[in-house]
Amino acid sequence: MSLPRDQEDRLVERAKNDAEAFGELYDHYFAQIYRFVYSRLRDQDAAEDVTSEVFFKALRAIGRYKPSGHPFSAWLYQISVNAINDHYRARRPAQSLDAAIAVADAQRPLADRVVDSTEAARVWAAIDALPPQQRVAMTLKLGEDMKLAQIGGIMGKSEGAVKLLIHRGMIGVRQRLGVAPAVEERA
Amino acid sequence: MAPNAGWADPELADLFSEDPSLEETARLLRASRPEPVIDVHFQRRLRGQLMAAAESRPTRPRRGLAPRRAPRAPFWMRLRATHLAWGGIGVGVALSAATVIALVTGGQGQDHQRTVIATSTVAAQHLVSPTNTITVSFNQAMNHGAVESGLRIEPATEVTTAWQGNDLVITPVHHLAGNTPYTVTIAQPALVASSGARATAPVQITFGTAPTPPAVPGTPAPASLTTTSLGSAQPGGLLLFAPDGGVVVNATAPSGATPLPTPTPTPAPSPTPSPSPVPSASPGATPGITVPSAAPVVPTPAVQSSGPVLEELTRGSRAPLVLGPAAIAAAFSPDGSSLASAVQSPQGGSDILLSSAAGTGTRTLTHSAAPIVAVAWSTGSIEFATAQAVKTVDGSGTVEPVAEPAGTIAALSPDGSRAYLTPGGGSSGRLYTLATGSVRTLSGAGGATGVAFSGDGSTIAWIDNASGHPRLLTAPLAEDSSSPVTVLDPGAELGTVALNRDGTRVAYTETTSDGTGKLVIAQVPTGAPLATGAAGSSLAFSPSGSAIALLASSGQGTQVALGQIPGSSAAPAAGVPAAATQVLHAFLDAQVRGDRGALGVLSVPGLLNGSLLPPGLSRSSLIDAVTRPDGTVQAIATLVLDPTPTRLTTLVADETLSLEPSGGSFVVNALTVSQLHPLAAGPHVLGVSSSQQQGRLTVTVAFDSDLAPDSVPAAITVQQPSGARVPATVSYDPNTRTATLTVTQAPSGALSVIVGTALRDINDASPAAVFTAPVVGG
Repeated sequence: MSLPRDQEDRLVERAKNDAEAFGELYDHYFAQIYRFVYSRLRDQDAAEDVTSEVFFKALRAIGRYKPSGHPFSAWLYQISVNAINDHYRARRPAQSLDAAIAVADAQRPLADRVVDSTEAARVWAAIDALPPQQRVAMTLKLGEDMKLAQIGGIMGKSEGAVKLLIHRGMIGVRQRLGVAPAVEERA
Repeated sequence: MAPNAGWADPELADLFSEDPSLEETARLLRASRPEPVIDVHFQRRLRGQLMAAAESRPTRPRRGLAPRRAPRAPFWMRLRATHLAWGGIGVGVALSAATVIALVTGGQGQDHQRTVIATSTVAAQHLVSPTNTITVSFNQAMNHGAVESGLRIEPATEVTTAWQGNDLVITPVHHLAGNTPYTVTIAQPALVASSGARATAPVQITFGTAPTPPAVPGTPAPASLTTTSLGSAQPGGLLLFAPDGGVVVNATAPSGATPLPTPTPTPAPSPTPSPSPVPSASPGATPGITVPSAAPVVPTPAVQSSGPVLEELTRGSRAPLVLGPAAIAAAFSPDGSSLASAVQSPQGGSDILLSSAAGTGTRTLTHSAAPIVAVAWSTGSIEFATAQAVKTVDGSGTVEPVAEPAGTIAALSPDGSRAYLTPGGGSSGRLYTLATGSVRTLSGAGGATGVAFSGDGSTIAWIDNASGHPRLLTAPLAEDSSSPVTVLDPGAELGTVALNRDGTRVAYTETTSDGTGKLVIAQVPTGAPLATGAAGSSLAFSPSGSAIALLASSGQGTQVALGQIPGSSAAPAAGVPAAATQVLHAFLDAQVRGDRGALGVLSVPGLLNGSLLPPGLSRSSLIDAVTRPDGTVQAIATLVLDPTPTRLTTLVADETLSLEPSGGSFVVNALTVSQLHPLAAGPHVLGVSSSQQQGRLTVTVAFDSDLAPDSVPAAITVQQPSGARVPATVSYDPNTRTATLTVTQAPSGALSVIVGTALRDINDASPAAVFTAPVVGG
């Protein structure tokens, strides 16, 4: 949840010189940034490292921040996306995707499959195989419940482009997970 | 109740209205999204550190009182980006090149001195060069003596200290150990500023070093490569060996050189296949391609001999042999009888020329409107690639399309089985298998000069620049696995790379931080250097692997240099076959990468299970390997999680592996991995190697810590399985942190080296447990 825009703008402006104001921004956005980072990395140590990186980058760069019409959180998410990419470039994932999703059993009912936390992690890992932009869009939509327009603001893309990314991403995930078509449920 | 019940996203419902199964997939994904539990201690620590850094920003001068100069950014903006990450006492950033440590003091001094800030360029790094110094920079003057008195380094390392302004420069006396995690601590009571302010927390910096080739006492430094200049060449990449040992390059035709033959045009291919119109091949010629040994050629116009040509240079007085026009790419046939080259066509694009290996009988096989970038020989035909497509042409000039991979083709493997695709959009380069269309990503691979195939097409080597710390990797083309080659200077930038015919040797160029360029020839996969020499822009091994050619810049322009590689043959440790060593390194590297696909390839079916792969590994270390009488190989390794600013303890898992011969190579057939556990204090063994000659056994044991020399002889022994101690002389080299045990008459049967708890490091710490490793299999 973003702060009211005018209140947020004032807080950000103060944070350029006032440590406490920056602290308020941190208090407000820490949880969602951490959750987003964790949803991409799924490792607590790595998520803490990258989250730290995000906020220190934000602290260093906030003097140059200018409101762009998007919430301040969009800027933090942009930093997060870059930090996550840096992380993946520096350290490869601990487990290969094929291994992670290989045991996902498409024949089991949906509820059974996701109740198991290990299985849930494997299902979510299917997103990792997507191209980077699809990964980001999918994570923001399904991990953060964001609106398409918000995602577009973070990714610098139109709403239509975000739709396309998510549509293609979902097809990619479906192929990997072997989710049974839901047509019969609607027949 | 099903998880996620009641969740609905109108945007997704609308987006997937025509394909409800996609909405179902979205529902499944959302139900499985990770829900992390936030560590409130971490959250608070991070907040505190952010506040400390934010408060240390200088106060803006009041309007009207500021001097007339360009405004300066806050201090953290003035620092280079690589100096800006945060680590600190409780939390840190493993991805950054420096750590800022805020140490809140007791409130003395001026406001801007209330917080002591310390930075270190090595903090949280995982590939620090072992030759690095460690610099801790303070933001204010410190009490030098007090700070130095509180300095401690684990593993125990003898250091000298110096101050440069507010920077404490720590120099290890014997360099840092390679492939080792380090923790540098300055105790809190020792952190006293000149103002008298005292810190309330210690400085703790964690980092890891890059692997280095194992130090073996008595092993001479890599030999210097002596080269001979064969002549001038045009700048550019084309460089290959001719079957007779000459070196083929593009050059400006020397006056009086052999006249350049003019290619004869290729007859248009018949609609139906017909016998080749050229004379039959000489015995031994490449099947499917025939070249006349003395084909009629059109007299060469003078203008052609003055232009750039493809010529073969040799040692001695033989004049350069002109093989044809200057080529974009060229390749000799597998039997050495023919030469295929791609040349710039007068009408644009490229022509494929075919001649004898001596450059006679040249004729144009085909024309490509798109420029050709690579040429190779495949069975019965010549394969050529443009940036977008691979095609073949046979002796009659008939062209067949082979593949159009998505991407930009930069190279072909010598056997024509694979194409290397350069990265697009910042991703890594990829390897495309022409027969199957499958694509394999080569992590961090970039331009074509950083990728090389072995002459037999079995192995690929490439430079991985993904992490900012270049790595040299090799991989069998047939397997999706890779192993790192330890480079001579881990901090150097890597440039050109080349492999010998069977992929057992690699040559690469490196540029160190002081700008010095160097050529290194090393064994694969250990990286043990065989020779070093002056850097060149292109590299090629001779077919036998005994010589290397390079293009070197000099005052006379680009010179072709040829060097004989000093005759050090690969010497696998403890008689372990090179193939087994390669599999071991590849397996350990795959464990660090978490690459279960590669692990599966390198092991017998069913060996792996989840408990065998600790997640998030930072590094691995092969400690010891020996061959048993039955031909199997037994090895000991360590899997390591480097400490982080949030976890100052190094975690390790102990691993034993067994390998059995399989299809000319080896596979891992047994594996045990302990649980991750904190690395105990005291010295640790980094590696054991042994050699035996005429009954004389030499065992070397390398350590991560500087040892108390007087503790070494009694603490390290060689024993038989019965526990009987074998008489040995023991010496210790502090420069390499290595103990050497010499047994003049080694008994038959199995032997082990034992490191006892009587061993002490310079901090007077001892190993927590006895270490045992086999040195002779039995």
